[in-house]
Amino acid sequence: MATQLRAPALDTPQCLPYLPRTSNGIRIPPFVVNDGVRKPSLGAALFGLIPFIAMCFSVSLWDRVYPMVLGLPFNLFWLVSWILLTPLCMWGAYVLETRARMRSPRSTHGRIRGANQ
Amino acid sequence: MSAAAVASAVLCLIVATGAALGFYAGVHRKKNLEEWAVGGRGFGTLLIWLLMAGEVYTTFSFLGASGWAYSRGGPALYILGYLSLAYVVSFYILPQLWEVARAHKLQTQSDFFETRYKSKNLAAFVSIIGVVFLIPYIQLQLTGLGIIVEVASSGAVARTAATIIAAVVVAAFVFTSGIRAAAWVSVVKDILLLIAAVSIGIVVPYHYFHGIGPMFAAIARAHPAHLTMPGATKNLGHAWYISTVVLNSLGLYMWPHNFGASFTAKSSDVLRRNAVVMPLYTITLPLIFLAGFAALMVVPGLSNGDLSLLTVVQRTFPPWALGVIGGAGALAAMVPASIFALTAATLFAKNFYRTIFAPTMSDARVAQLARVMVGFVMAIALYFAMHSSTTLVNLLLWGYDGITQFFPGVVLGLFWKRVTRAGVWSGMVAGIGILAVLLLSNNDPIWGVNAGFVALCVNFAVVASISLLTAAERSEFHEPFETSAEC
Repeated sequence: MATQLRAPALDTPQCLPYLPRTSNGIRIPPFVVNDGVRKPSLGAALFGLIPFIAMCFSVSLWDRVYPMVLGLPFNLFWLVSWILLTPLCMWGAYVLETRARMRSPRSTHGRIRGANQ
Repeated sequence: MSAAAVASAVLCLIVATGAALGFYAGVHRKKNLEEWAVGGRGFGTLLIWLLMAGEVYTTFSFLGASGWAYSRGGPALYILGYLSLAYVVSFYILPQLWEVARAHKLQTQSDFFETRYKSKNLAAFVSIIGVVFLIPYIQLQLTGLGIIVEVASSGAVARTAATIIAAVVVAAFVFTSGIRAAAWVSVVKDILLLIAAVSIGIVVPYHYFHGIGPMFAAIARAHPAHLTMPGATKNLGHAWYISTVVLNSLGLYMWPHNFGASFTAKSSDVLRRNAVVMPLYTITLPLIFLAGFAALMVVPGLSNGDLSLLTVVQRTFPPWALGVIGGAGALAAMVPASIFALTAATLFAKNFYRTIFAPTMSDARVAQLARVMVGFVMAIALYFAMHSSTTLVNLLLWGYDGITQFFPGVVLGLFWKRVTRAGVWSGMVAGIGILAVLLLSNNDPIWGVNAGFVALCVNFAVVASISLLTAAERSEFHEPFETSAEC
């Protein structure tokens, strides 16, 4: 492997979820060598499809004035609701994607490649 | 003091404060080319969030969205749909883009094309097309600034003079500071715009109709078809909505400036988390739609829908409030205009001129040429702004039609090993060619479908088939590269 490994910055508090820990509880940031660009996981892609169906493809189902909700025509109410729901879907996608990346065989989770073999 | 004088004075004060902040942010920085153009790849989560949000919230959403709600009705809702979905799309492409950009030290979109497809000519073509479609976007900002100054001064400053002043201020702003200035000014702008949107969206319906519900009830009685698609238009129905939302949501990050801005993130995970939270930022947009719909009842019969928001503000609020809202709108035009001008100038100097005409040019000379080009780009946009009368939304729709033709080259370049240079070349030429024919022959929308979407479909089909017909090529993006600290 010609690619050189470089130690990642250890002061990265934003990467808390799903990091494996050492026996004394320190979180280990991953060293990663990508085999080229990695595709998003299928689960994450399906989560992203939900807002597309809701806000775009289903337009003829919700493009109407009545019933008015909270004083808004139904189509405007529907879009506003999905502006709020889209981050929830994408949070789901984020969780699945992070898990998939951490599980990946390319990610060595702090072990130096070849050290154990 | 007269109402116009108060409004203009407040407006000038806000613009001057914003500009001073920008100059201050830029003044102590040593500027090499990378620092000037991508801010040294060191922005934190908060700053990049504001930077990206600042670029998305432009004159287009402030004056254009309300203008379309006023003049077109239901079809304007496409703006709410495509913005949220554009962030969804970004979740699946920006982190990967960031990784290859870092591994291969890419700064711009055409760097991406040059490295992926190993063709300097393709990169130069992409950059010149990018510059061409950035110009209507800059024109949109200058036209918006002209409208703001004209309404705030009650017509005392003519549109032409106001547009020229706007162009000069924006150019001066870019010369002294670069992208970091834009980021800091957008902090001020975002806060003001939020206050403006909330006060307009709430106060106007309550003042005239005693509530949002009664306002929509009144509109539904007076204009039964206005609130749904196709609204006040003949051909902007559901097929147009779906095709336009898909096209624009794929296109948002194909804009050279957005593409480049994503490289300034600290890590690829910052971009993923941004994609999760960014849709929430569009929650202020429906309030601006409320203002446009209210204007339909309060100030009917305006010749230009883009004037509706400011006219209703002028009718409803005291002069100083018009000044504040105009000031926020002016910063909302200046920040993106400066970013677009900077992007277009850098693209032209580095990726077009140096690539084609002067391969030995030093970075310092390229930065110099880029500064000169800022002036040229502003002058061209100013010329079009003074000689055209298209609605703000239409200008941006055309921009998206063109810019989204990069999407197949980018996304297949990232995820499909087999895509070839010849495939991308022919797809892009076919897409832009069909688009030019449809737009110039006034066939947008065609059969009720967005013309840019038709061109994009052809583009995809041509890229895929020509790529499979030509021999496979080596792709560095699909060979191992290291990414440290994934999160």
